[in-house]
Amino acid sequence: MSTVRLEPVQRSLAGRTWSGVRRDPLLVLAACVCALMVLVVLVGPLLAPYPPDQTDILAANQGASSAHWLGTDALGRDTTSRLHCGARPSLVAAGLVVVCSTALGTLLAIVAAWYGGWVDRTLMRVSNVLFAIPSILLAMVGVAIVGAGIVAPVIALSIVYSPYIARVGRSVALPERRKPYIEACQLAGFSKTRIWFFHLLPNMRGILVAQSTVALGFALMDLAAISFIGLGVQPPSADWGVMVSEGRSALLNGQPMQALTAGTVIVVCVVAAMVLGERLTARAKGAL
Amino acid sequence: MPAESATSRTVARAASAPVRWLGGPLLTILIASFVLFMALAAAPGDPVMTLLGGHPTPEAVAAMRAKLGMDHSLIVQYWNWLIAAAQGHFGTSIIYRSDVADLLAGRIRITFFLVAYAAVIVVAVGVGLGILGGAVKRLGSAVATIAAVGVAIPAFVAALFLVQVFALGLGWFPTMGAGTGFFGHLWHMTLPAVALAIGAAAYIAQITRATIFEEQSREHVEAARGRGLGSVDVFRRHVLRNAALPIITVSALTAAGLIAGTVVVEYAFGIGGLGSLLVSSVASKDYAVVEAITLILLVVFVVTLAIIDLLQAVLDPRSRAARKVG
Repeated sequence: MSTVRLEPVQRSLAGRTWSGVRRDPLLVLAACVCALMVLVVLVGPLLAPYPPDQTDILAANQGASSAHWLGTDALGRDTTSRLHCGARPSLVAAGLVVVCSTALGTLLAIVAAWYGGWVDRTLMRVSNVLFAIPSILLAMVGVAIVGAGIVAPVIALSIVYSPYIARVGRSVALPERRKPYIEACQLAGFSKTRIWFFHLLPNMRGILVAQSTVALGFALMDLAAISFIGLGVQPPSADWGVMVSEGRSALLNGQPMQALTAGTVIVVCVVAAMVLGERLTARAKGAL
Repeated sequence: MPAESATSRTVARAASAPVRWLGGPLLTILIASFVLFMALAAAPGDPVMTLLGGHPTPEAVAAMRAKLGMDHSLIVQYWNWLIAAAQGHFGTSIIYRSDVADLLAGRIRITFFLVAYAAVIVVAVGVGLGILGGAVKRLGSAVATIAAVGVAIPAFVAALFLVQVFALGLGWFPTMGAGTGFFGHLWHMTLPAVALAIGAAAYIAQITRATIFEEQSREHVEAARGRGLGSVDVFRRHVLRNAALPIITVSALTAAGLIAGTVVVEYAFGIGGLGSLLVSSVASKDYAVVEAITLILLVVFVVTLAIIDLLQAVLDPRSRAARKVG
């Protein structure tokens, strides 16, 4: 006669983490990079070995050395320090775009799914018009109106991205809206906004978080491109797009370090955001 | 009698199809151009004062306003601008002091050469890589990884890496400019076209691979394999043919998206096309030029989308069959 030993259902935190890593290593890796991004935004300037604006003409245009790990730019500013400090302007603006477009897109999705009929049709038609406008063009028109800076691009991108969120949000909100718990809420006399934000929204959360993570990657790319062409964040701020732009002439003169490291940092962040978003989308769809 | 009503229905449908097909894009262009014009009209700064300079007399200001057509209401101004633009007249640049249409004439060719060049690369590399990843099991994850990184490379970052390696390092291509003549363009714009194409090609590779992957697990493919057809035959006749339509659609859509991307790439490579002129005009608030270029890029983009819509309907045998029945 043999005995069957039952494994305890509750496992330790370390055990759960390890099984998570084994199940989806890509998701964990991307999440770690994203966590690192947030960390650098919070404490980046403390990690910088030099002040980001400290110029040293005698040490200008240097390659990698023990004093300057990633070299210096044309004014002798330390590239490592500027990369650390550049996380704030680059990532905070992208985060702002994601928050605004997700809020707007979610509201549109709920309204469209809730009322249906002509409201739904009109909103979807408007979003079709917005789909036809390239994001960078709208951002440039915004800059033409209010002048160079990060405000106009952030507003423009928030508007252009919101239909993407609205589309996905609507596709989840439509089946949710027909479920019995919504009717139960209505019969209980809950107000519309209470049902929307406390009952419907929590059930859309997974896919919305996943989509806005993907949007973070796109926002980072678009904002960096706008700063690169000189219409976004203005020098001497150490935005990553600005650093690539400033490093361009140094690259043509044989000092590629600044342009290529700043470019690589942008790519790593965008890859991490997109991979995390894609894995989360796959999970959210599996859970639906 | 039934036949007749069927015919009249077909005629009505045939007549309404172009209206529907034209209506959406036209409406998009109208709304977008209206918003564009009104937004720039509301922007601070007065082109009349910029053109006259100094301290002009009120009579001179009034005369200039009348000459520019700014003494009408904004709605009338918009309509006049749109009608003139449709005939190729975009007004006067306040920075270059010359006709906008003349400024654009040489640049349009360069920009569309760049977009076409990049589009060829996108379709060839993207579809090729995607088919490779979908058909050869062992290469699947390698293609997926390359594509996932490629999608995340902004064109301007790619531009600087390409210049560093292929222009400065190997010396195969020039670092800047657009060149002259067809082969000069081809040589000068290879790196810009590749920089512009990377993100889009990676995206197409992802879509192609996913589509082929999906088609391969369909029942009729299993059945064809079960009948003992060779794997190459099954792939060519049963997988690829069904995957072709979505791949063509997404490829064309992505290629259309390249039109906006030229702005950044032209700036990065110092190419004198529409995009680099748009960047400098936005910086100097030269609104006539900004309006003209934005409108041209928008119209080309929207019209391309409409053509893709039409092509999709023509290429899809199911919609052809539906039209015959209807």
